Amino acid sequence: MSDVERNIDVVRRLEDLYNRRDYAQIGDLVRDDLIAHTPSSDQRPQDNEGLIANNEGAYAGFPDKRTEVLDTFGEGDRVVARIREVGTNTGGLPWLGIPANDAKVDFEWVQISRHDDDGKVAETWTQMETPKLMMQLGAMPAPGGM
Amino acid sequence: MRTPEEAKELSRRFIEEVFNQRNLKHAEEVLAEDFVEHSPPFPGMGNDKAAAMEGFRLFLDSSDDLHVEIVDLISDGGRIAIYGRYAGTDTGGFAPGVPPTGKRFDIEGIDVAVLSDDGRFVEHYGIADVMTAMGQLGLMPAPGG
Repeated sequence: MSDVERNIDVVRRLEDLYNRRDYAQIGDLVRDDLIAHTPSSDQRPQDNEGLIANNEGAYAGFPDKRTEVLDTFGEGDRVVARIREVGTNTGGLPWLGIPANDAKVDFEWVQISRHDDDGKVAETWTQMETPKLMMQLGAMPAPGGM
Repeated sequence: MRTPEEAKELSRRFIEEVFNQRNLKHAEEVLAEDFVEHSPPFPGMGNDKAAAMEGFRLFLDSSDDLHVEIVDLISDGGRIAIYGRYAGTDTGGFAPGVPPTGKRFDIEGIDVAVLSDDGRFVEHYGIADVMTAMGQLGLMPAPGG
């Protein structure tokens, strides 16, 4: 397995770990000093505990949350991943001021990750379909309705 | 299969010609006729080459001093990710029906294109930091809509 294939495998295993909510291997996949560049996200520390808290926080709002890796490729120490998330807001999203409203969400993000010599994720750059998510949650008007 | 370097050169040229030189003819030439746009900028635009071309035109019309800078390029030859910085003045309106604010935006985005063996773009998906742009332009709706 080339380094690029190994790094892609790490990205896929990490997403699988988040979906299973089984965090025992997280330290094998992500550095504890991860640097995450994610616009419009909360500023929780992105160490392993912070990532687990992020994922558990999302499950509190969307107990049926699932993600699916739609595409991956890589070059050198970088991996690009396109990921789709679906879920239902039955738990509420207090950090966004949004109560539980049974809204179904279906949105994507694109992530670039940089991997260290062991393949662990060291840095990420993420762009999310946040406006689509906010519209699906009823927290933002559709285009043209502004 | 192209080499990653060839894919990067095609992408650099695309960004420079289409966005910085405002040459939509270049996009017309290098997008395959059966191009698939997975991320049209607005719902209901469709997913074909015409939708992609309309998206480029709307983006150029929104800002008369738009400048795109490439931050990073990642390619396996068949696909390329373009991590770019998009800056300009909102002179044409952020979305159809929204009046121009005259304010500046400066945001990042990540786009992925799929290339054919003959060096044309055949697919695209991408996401830009629209929330930050809306904040910079003072267009963020109040919480709760």
